[in-house]
Amino acid sequence: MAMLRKDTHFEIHHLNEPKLLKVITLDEFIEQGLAVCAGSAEFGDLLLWLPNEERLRSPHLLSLPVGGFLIPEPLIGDFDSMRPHLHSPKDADVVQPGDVIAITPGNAMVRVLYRRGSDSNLLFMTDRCNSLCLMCSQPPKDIDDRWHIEENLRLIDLMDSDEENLGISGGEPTLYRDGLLEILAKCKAVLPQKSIHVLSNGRLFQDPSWIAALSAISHPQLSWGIPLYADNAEDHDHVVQAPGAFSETLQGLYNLARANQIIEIRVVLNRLTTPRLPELAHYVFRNLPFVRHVALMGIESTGLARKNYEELWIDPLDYQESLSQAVYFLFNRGVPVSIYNLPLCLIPAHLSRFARQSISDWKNLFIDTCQQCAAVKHCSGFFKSHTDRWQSRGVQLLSTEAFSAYARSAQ
Amino acid sequence: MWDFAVTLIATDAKHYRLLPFRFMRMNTGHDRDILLTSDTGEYMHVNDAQLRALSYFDVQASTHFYKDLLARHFIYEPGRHDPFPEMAAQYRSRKDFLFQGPALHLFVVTLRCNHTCQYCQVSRAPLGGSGHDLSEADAQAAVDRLFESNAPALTVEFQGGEPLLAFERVRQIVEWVVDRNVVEQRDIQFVITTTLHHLTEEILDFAEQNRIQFSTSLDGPAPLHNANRPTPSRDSYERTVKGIQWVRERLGHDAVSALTTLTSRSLEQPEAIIDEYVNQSFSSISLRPLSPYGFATKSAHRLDYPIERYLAFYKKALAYLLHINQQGVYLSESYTSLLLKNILTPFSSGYVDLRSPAGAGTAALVYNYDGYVYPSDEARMLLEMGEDGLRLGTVQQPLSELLGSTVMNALLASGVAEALPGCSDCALVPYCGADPVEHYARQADPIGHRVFSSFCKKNMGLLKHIFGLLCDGDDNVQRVLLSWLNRRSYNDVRFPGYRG
Ligand code: SF4
Ligand code: SF4
Repeated sequence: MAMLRKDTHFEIHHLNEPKLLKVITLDEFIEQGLAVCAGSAEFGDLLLWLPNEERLRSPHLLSLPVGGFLIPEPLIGDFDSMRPHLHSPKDADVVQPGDVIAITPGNAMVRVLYRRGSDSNLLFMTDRCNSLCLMCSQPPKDIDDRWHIEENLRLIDLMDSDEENLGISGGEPTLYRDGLLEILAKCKAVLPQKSIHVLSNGRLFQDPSWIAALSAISHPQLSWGIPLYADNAEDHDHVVQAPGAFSETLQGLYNLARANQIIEIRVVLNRLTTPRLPELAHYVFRNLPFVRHVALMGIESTGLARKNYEELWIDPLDYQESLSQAVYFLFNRGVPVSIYNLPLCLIPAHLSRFARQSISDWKNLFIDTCQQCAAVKHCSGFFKSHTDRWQSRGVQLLSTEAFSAYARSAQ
Repeated sequence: MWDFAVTLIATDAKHYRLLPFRFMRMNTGHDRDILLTSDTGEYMHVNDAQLRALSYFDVQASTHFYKDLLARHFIYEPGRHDPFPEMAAQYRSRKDFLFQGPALHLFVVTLRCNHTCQYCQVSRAPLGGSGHDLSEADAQAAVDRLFESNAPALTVEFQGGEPLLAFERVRQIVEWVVDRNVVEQRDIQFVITTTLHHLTEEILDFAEQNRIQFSTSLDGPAPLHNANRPTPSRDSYERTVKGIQWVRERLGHDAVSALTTLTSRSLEQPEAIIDEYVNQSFSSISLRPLSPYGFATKSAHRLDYPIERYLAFYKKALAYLLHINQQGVYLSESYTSLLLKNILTPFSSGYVDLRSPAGAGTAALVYNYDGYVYPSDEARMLLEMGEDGLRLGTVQQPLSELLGSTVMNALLASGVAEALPGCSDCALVPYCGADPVEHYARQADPIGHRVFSSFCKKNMGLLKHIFGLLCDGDDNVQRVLLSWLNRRSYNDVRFPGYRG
């Protein structure tokens, strides 16, 4: 199964400055014009989707006052314009009408910042972080990258206004407090139909001034995914490599609750977090009863996780019991719980009703074994970073009969 | 130098500090016989050696036991993590009911009744009796009191006597409440507590329009029910069952629930009573002991029973319920479900009798037919027995005045279980409640002595039994109890999960 990347190369001409552009077809341009963008936009923000055939048929289209042109195939004939234009994509599927792309002069790389209709779109806030989790998939960098704020504010304007899920993450997005608050307020104003999910370690929320700030925004569809790795400070602080983090995150969670925020607790499953997983579930239920969802997530074998393989790796088969105890503890008490990122062949059939296909389309992978598997259409599969070292001894294709046992127990 | 060394050693040895906790031996006969509970309702079963290690600061850091103690706020590590925000949150969850004024409002619209139940001689009047009905002016004032409470969800319950004998007053009150609620916008539930003997099409029509629930009494199979509830025609059971069917036909299966009165006779037949509830396809049964209030002294001896007999009955009944639930029948025992909520969740059931501070007056108010307001139904019955000490005032006084009354002050002063002699040291106090009215009735003292308290014997007996089941019961027993906790089917609770 092919995964859809978020970037590809084009041949790019006449680009003098970095640009964020909304790809738009001629039909859309005629019918909707600038209204195709959720927020305020100018014609210069539009990139007209112009296959060779249309251009050759109507060369006058090149005089439209748009920001540039995208030829989604190898260029045929001459391109009679000094305006920016892109052609000959390396992978023609990556950029599609409706998407918002970023391009910079002197670089053939086209990055898709917004993909129309996808629920995995992300506002990336920063590479900086105040923790250094052992399994961090995107190791933080100590740089000033405030420019992300401006870019995201622009990006919001250029998105479709449709109902979709939109993520905000980093790094640690709360490090740019004012920028984040501005973005959340803008999401509410410009993208009221999109539900927003922010990933944060929650530590900075220990500052109670966030309560008023978030209450003032009062976004109706905003939720926070906050990781908690243990029911005690020693273990949690070790996983996130930050003394005091446990206390800060807990106070942060209470402040979020005071601001009436929707909160999800996220636990990455590894050798350090699984031994007390049932106790952690107990802790969450007893101390954080306002939590709306608990996500128990298989580890992504990338970034720092690779470096800390010895300390982190545990075969999911070896924590099945712990996982099952935790899941049913929560489920029986009415707390919604999900299992993310774990292939179906690695969890017992009776847990399959909690398993979600959680891996974003652009980084999802199915290995050779999966090709003949009856479960492949329902399975989360693997991260594209998957390697043999991180492969459970239990990965095996499920026969139709075996999979129907999963399907039965999901009812 | 020497002093310094000692201090160092002392701090080192005490790498943790104790947080307030209570403990109790459960007499289960197995190793982990001691129940540890925190103020906020966390609990652990431990053995003698563990309790000793805990109190001598001898628990080894980094062990599972140590982490369990930390995570459940039995101990904390100064300088590492301050658990007070979590403990505060737990307190808040458990005492959440304090943020609301009275939510349950009982309207005693008449004392008249067609029954001559032995245990209820004093809180009813004969069918044709006069001067036993709530007046229109008092009813109107009661509706004002109802809306003075800040509770967002209100239950308006009609009681008697037999409230259907005063249906016109019921209708009036419902209509006033519905009218007022156009502006008030509360979540209101109407309940009529009735034998269902006096149902009419007209009453059912009205109930349908206003989504009124019925709560009836069903004591068991016909012989038991009719013996408990004499009527001139000796057909109380038949008429009630007919009423149940009629309500269900018109308003849906769940529009009627039933309560059981357990007389001395009932205690001999737990299975028969439960089977009757299964036959009538109820999903919950309430096996509460008889309260002492309604008795005339004469019949008290015949009907009252020692609480030990009730506890033996309860255990048999519960075992039978656990058994049939595993066969696919859903029938929960309601008091057990409330206690399960108190034990297994950070919340309180909020049930009037299981609150501390006590629920009388703070959770419920009774508007008596004579225009006086009482903190509970039991307090009202005390009056009918000749005690007049427990009324809060008249229905014409504003709610703030009623809740600020001397009686209310006295009840609250003896209504905080955590501060009552006996309860303050009891490991079960986070899950129990305070009932000053019952103690006043039985011991003529709202505080009372726990050793002679049937309230205490009952709750301690039930709580210990339930803790025993939660600790030692097999997976299927856990599944039934968990299915009651969230009103899910037994099959939906496929695995009990971590026992906590
Ligand atoms: S083999 Fe089947 S169940 Fe296992 S990961 Fe592949 S698709 Fe999923
Ligand atoms: S009434 Fe009895 S069981 Fe309840 S808290 Fe008091 S002493 Fe404990």
